[in-house]
Amino acid sequence: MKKENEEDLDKLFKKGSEEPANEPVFREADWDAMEQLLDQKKKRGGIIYWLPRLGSVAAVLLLALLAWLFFKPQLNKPKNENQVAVVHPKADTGISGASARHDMADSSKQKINTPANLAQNSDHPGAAKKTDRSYPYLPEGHAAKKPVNAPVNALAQNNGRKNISKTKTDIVSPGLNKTNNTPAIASPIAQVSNNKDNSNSSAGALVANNPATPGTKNVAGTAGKDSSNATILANSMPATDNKKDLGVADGKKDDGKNNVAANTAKPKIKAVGTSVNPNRAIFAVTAIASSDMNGTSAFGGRAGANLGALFSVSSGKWTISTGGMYSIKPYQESFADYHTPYVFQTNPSSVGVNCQMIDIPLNVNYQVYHKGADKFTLGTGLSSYIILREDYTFNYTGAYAAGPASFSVVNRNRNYMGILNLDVTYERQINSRFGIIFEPYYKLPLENVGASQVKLQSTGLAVGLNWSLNSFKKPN
Amino acid sequence: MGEEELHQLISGCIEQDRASQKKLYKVFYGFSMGICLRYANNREEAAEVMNQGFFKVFTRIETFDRTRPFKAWLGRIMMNVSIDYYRANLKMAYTDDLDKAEHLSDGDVTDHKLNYDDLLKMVQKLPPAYRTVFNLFAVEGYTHEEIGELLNISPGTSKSNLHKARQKLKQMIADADAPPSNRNYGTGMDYSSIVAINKTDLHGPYFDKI
Repeated sequence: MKKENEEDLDKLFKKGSEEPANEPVFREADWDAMEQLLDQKKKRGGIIYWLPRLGSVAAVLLLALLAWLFFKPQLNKPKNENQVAVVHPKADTGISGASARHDMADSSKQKINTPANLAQNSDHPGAAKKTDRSYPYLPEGHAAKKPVNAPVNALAQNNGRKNISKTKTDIVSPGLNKTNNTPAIASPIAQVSNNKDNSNSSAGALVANNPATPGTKNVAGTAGKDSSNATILANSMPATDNKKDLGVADGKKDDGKNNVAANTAKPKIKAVGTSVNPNRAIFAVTAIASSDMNGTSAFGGRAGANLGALFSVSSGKWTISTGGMYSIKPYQESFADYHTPYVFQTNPSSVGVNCQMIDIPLNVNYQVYHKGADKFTLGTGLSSYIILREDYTFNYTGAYAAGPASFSVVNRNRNYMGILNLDVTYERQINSRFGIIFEPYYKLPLENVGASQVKLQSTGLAVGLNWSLNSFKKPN
Repeated sequence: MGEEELHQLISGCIEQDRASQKKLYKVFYGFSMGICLRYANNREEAAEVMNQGFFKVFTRIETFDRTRPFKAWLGRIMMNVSIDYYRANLKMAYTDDLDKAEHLSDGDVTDHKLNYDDLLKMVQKLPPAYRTVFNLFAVEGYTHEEIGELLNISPGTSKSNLHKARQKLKQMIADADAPPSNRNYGTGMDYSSIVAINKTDLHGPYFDKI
């Protein structure tokens, strides 16, 4: 009896609990509390989302800064005004580039030649025996009497270098080079172009200081070796005819980033002596904005916008850049392109999508043309999309269709290095630090994008302002 | 709610669509709250527990096997969250005034014309240790061994707690039915002021019924 009662009690309770009429009524306040829980989770998720990304951006910038510091010592080479020759410590001289660079970098070994110094220098660079082919190279002529910098000489001797192959000598007196198209010589501006091809930097200084010394060793026929050597100062290579004279002579400005020769060091002296690595890395930051057409075919689509910043490193003709762009990409796709596991009761005819994302490109650009202040580059690269939000709107053909009208996907989809970038960039240099960029581009997806997994293409035009962080001002 | 509509809602929830989440919440509110009310002390705590349960649902919905019934999955989550909420209290055993219950007559429970709400309120007044075991045994249908595993207690403790739960409920039922003037008559419970306070509490649901 007791047991039955107990069981009755159990059953009574159980039965009552299952009765739908006994179910409590919905309270909006409970949903509000639920929403707060969900929003909290989102915020936490946000931090979790951003922290690694910001961390990696910070890491990239840190690496770049370290790279810059690494390259920097070369800029500290003694600025030798009136400096003339340049050495090619490379193959011909037998001085290893590395060791020469080392010495170059070691300012304690260098004698900084001020005019006063030079006056005392009695050594003649032309004298083979004592030729010191390492930097700095002493001028000829009246300056030839100056004493050679002992440590420097010692260095040369240590290297066992007594002669330098004729093809490699760089004698400073550009005046000799009548055959050469070194209009640079006439140019008061010492220039060194960073460009590999530009081995004819004018030895502006030379002109100032060096009367031509016909007797000196080879001037002519110096091979147009690229002055890509780190130890080169002012490259007064007498050019052979086939040498390109890039931008130097006519005082053309090399692209702002590469305007090394314009040396900061001694603005008063039109001197060369700039110890600049022609392949010195130039760092730049670009602010960029663009509008583009986005769609699932090359020409269809809706207009979107992008805004962001890029950080780039240039060396020679090559530039690598990365950064982040905030993009809004609306597009339309036919239902055939819309992929979802959900089975629609009635299929929509098309789907409108609005995506907000972060586009992280990694691009490589090659300079194909450069004249004066204008520069053209071709570029390619890969982008990653971090899709922040996708809003889908379903368009049905009938007036009454049972089906979802829209839904959103938040912070779910990613494409790492999944979009191919193609671009042509035109840069107009405003001054040594700033340039304006116009860049038509095309983004081709290599993989499917977004929750609906479509091949989203974009094409548009970007405009940007480029700021070189470590270019030098040209002396006037 | 139709299968397709549920399926669509689930898809929306997987995409973290807020509208879908709200709809799902509303649709299963009654069912979920019903479960949580049985395990909780009152409606406010039940709501808190239920929201925690839904939070788990929304964050784990991707793992839900769509070939299985959703309601059962949801119900299981609600039960587990409810148990966890009171887990700290589950091992307590209230021994007070149980002896009084032994003297209660074992009249037929169904005679008392209890409605569910009243019964629910009485269950809510049970100590969590008894209440949980009572729910798991009487409503969910677990054996004492299973309950022991769920609550990390011995089957013996489960049986004991169940017995105590029933006793207390009967006591409450009897007290609820007894007319106020007779409430102390013959029950042997009129011997202390504490009892009187208890009685007042027990009369709470009786008066709130309206």
